[in-house]
Amino acid sequence: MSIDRTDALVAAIFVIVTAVTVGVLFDLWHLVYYSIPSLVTIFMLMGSLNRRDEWKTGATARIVSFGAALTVLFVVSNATLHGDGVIGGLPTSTAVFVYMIWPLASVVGPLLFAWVYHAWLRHDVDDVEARSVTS
Amino acid sequence: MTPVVVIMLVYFLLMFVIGYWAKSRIKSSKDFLVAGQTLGFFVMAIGTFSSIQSGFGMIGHTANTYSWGVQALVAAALLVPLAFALSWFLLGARLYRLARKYEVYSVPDVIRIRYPGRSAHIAMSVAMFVGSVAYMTAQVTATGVIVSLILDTSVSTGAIIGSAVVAVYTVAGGMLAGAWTDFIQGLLMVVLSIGAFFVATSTIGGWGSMLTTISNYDLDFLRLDASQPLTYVYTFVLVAVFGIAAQPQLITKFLMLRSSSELKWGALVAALAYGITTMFALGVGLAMRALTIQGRAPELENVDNTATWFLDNMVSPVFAGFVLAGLLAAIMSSSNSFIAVGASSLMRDLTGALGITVRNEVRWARIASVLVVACALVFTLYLSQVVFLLGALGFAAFAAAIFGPLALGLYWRRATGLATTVAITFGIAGNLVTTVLTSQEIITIPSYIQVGGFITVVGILIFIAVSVAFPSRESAKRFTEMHDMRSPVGAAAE
Repeated sequence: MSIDRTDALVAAIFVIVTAVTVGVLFDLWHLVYYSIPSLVTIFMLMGSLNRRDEWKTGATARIVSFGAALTVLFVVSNATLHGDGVIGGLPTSTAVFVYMIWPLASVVGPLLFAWVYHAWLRHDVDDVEARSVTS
Repeated sequence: MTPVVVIMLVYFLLMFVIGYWAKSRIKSSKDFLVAGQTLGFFVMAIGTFSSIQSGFGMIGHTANTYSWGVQALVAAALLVPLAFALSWFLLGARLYRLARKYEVYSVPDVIRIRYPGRSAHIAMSVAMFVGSVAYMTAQVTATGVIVSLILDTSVSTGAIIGSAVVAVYTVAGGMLAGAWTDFIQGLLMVVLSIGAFFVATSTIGGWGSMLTTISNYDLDFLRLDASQPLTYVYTFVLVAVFGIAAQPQLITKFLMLRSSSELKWGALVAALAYGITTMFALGVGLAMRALTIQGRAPELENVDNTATWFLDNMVSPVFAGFVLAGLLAAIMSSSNSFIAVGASSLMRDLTGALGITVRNEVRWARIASVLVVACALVFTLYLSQVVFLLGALGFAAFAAAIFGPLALGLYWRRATGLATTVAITFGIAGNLVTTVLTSQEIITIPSYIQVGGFITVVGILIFIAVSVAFPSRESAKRFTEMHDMRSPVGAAAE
């Protein structure tokens, strides 16, 4: 069986989830922590594949940018974990989650799906939609 | 009659009216199990979020925020809105295609179409029934607590009353009633969460003043590593974010949409609604901590009473009535989904997997719904010693059992029926065995291990490993047929 994009993504998931398992067993929290933005990005990339295992360039670029932004925020939160800085009444590392990652998760992630669906994934259901209308 | 009781009775009446309206429209099992595939995006998305946001999400997160600090919400809530985006990405278009192409009303139906052989179908059907009863048992207990508070009865009587209400409208109107009551309940939860946040923070002088009160006393309470180990916190994030895409009450909602255009905005609506309801735990949990620091509230011995102590002592009875109705809505919206999922697994999925033909599916779906509620009530009232076991079969067990076979299986042609059976068995047995061994003190789990998250990630690894180690031509062929693809050259498993 030839290797396709989904195979590559599943292989990446296997490697990251193995790292998570090691992190959980040996209390290495960084392995678990950085798996979160990594897996979010990979699953979004998987979800943006159409049924012919194809990506749309613009959609892929936006998903990777979203994943990169999420990773940067995770790095900033980690870097300020033991600092004395306070933003909006919260320690900086907590503030990054409450004031930045929470809105990003609640608004930007779902908007990204809306764009990818409108520009790309909806074509994947056009044929069944047409079939159900004509039947 | 107190204002709180009046509000609850009006709320119950509204649920009955929706149930009666839906009953007149139920003509087939498609109407009963997937609301006749008539839902628009707004009703579907609000219903999806409200069935995910359970009593634990409102009351439990408030208790943990009061006890652990903001890290409780980082662990279990702040990234959860992302789970809705991921669910729409991974499941939206592919499940919609399946629902239009095949007669798909449930998770086991998807498994039946995706994988050959009966074992995966039977395993998923059994897991759905056991998991639904387990989930329902937890919800019945929570209903009993809230109803007993409002009516001043015993928890058992409260559980019977609350279960009877949700059973009546679900048995009468199936998921058509379930979807619309979820919608009303979801809107109620959103409104009450905004109100509770501002009322709670204003008791301490506002958001800034509340945080200053806490940080002046103990800044560490607001840090990410406040009390629980970080490995535990971030494993909790993993199971919360990725586990949601594997919850049957969410998955089946994608099978209820009326057209593909309804997919576009659903993730945004569900994520925003969930994000807003997190404000309840954030506001009430931190306000209660600040009130305790100021000496205006006692240090609670049972932190599960955080939300109810606040409502009893810090707000007007009318506002408390609305909030309690909202908390009841959170519990009931999860309950009715699991009644329908459990009924479907018993009446349609398991019988189908065993080759039994069921005539008059609607009647049997109603009988099976009553059976699911009755099982949950019996466990809650008379078999408390098994309730803790059933607690192990909730969210994390579904995450471990379903994520690989369904979320990965919809994309990955190498996924196999054997791997599905093994992953389901591991997800259920792993959670059960761990619960028994730890409760009997045969093993001790280190505090940094979040057991549900650990079993979920191992379940995914097992699913991938078994699929690769034992390839299946038939499973690959099913994948090709399911997606209307031509068999690629050399596509047969080797």
